[in-house]
Amino acid sequence: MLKSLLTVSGSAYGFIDEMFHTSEGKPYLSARAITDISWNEQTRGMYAQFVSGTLNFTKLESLFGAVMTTGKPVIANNAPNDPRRGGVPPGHPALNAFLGLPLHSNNRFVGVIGLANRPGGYSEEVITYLQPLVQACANLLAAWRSERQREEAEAALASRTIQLEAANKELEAFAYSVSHDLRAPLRGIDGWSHALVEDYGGKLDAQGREYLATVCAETQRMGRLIDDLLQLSRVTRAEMRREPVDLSALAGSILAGLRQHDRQRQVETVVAPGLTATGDPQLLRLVLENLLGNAWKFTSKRAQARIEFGRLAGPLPSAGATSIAASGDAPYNGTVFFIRDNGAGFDMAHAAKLFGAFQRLHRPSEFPGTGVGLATVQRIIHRHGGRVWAEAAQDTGATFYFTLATNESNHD
Amino acid sequence: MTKRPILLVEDNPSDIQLTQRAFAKSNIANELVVAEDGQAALDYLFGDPGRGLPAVVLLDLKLPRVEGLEVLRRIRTDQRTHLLPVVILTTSKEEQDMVQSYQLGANSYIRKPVSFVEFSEAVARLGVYWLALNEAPPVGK
Repeated sequence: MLKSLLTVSGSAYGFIDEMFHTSEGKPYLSARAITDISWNEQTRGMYAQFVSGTLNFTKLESLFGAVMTTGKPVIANNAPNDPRRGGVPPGHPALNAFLGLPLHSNNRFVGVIGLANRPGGYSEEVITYLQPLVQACANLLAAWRSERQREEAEAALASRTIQLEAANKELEAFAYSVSHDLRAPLRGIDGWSHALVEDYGGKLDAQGREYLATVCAETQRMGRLIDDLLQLSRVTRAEMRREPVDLSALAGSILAGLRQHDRQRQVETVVAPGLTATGDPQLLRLVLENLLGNAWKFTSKRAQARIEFGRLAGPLPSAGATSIAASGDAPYNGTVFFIRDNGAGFDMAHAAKLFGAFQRLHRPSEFPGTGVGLATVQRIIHRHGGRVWAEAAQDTGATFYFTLATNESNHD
Repeated sequence: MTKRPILLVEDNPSDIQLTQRAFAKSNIANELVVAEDGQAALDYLFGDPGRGLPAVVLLDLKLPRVEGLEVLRRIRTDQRTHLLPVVILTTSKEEQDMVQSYQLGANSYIRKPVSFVEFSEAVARLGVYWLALNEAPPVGK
C-alpha cells in the first residue's frame, strides 16, 4: 500500500500510521508501514522497533503532529523552514517537501499518511489525485483496527472465562471440604453428649442434663447452618436448565407437604391456576419452598392463617417495591408473581436486610430459622434474570413479589 | 440373619466409636471389623482368600491412602467381590459424590446425620436391612 502511494505520488519515502490516544487523551501515531530508511545505527533501531509494532510518534509540534491536531492535510514544500516543523533525527535523510494526509473512515479519524520529497513538492492536485488510494488505505486501517479490537475483546472474554472457571472450581472444592469436614466434628459433639447422658446421666443433676441438651441443640443448629450455607453455594454453582415449569402445581405440592407435617394447623391456601414459567425446575422449587415455607412459619401464631400464591394483574406495585427492588428501574411488562400471607410481617424499615445471608428480622425464640432462605431465593431469581422484593407491615403480613426474565421468552 | 461380619471403612476414631455404639444399641451381634483407610479395607477383602467376605461394607468416601470411591471401584472390578453389597456411609451429600458412588455400583448411599439419635436409627435400619431383610448375592458368583 505504502509502495503504491510512494510510486503514484512520486515520493522518496513515507509512512502509514494508525492514530491512538493516550489515557490523557493526547493523540499519537503508531507506525503500520514505513519506508526502510535505515541510514545509521539509530534509525536501524527505529526500523526494528517498527517491525516489532512499537514504533510510536508522539510529538505534536511537528509536521505530522499538525495533521493529528487539525485533522486536515498538511503541505510543507519548504519543510526545513516551515514553522510547524519538529526537526528530523540526526542522520535522517533531508526532509525537503512533506505531505501529511489524515485518514478518515466512517467519520472517524483513524490514522495519518506521511509522504516526503516529491520532486517539485506537493499540491492540492496531488491530494485529489491520491484520494482513492488514501480512502482505501483508511478503510483498510479501520477494518484492521476493528478486527484487532474484536480479537482483543475475544481474548479478554476467554481469559475472564478461565478466571471464572477457576474461581468456580475453587468454590466447588471449598464447599466439598465444608460438606465433608465441618459436619463430622458436630456429629462427634452431639454423639458424645448423648453418650454422657446415657452412661453418666445418673451423676448429673437436672441442670447438668439441661446443659447437655443445649449442647446437642446447638450442634443441630450448626448442622442446619452448614447445610443451608451449602445449599446457598450450590444454588450459585449449579448448572441451570431452562424448561417450562408449572408453578401452580409446584406450589400445590409444597403446600400439601407443609400441611402433612403440621396437621393440627388451620391454614387457608389459595393457589391461582395456570401459573407457568421458564426456568430451572429444581431451583424454582427451592424458591417456592422457601417463600411458602416462610409464609407457613410466620403465620403459625394466626388462628385464621391465609397463604396465597398468584400473579399480579396490571402494572407493578410501586410504593415500597422500588425501594428494595433488586435491580433496574426499566418498565417491566412481564408477569409478577406474588406470595402473600397474613402472618407476623415485618417492619419495612428493616427491609434492606431481608435478602442478606444470615440476616433475620425475628428473634429465634419467636420463629426459628437460619436466615439463609431469602438469600437463596434472591440468588435463584437473579440467576433467572428476575427481581424479588417484598412489602410488609408489622403484625399484618407480608407479600413477596418476584419476576423471572425468562418468563415470556427464552433468551438462550 | 447372617453371622458374617460387617466391614466398616472409616478413618475418624470418634466416628468409629459412635458407629460401634450405635450398632451395640441396636443389638446387632455381627462382628464389626474396622479398616481405618482404603488400603486396609482392600487388604482385608483380598489379603486372605480363606477368610470369606463380610455381609456388607460400610464405606466412607474421604479416606487416607486409598479413597472410598477407589475402594468401591476395585471391589466392583474384582470377580470375587463384584457383587458384595457396599453402602456408602459418609458426611457429604454433594451431588458429585452421590452420582459417582452410584455410577461405580454402590448399593446404597447414606448421609450420616449430625444427630446421634438419627444416626443410631439409621444404623439400626441399616443392620436390619442388610443383615436380615436383604438376601445376599450367592458367594462366588
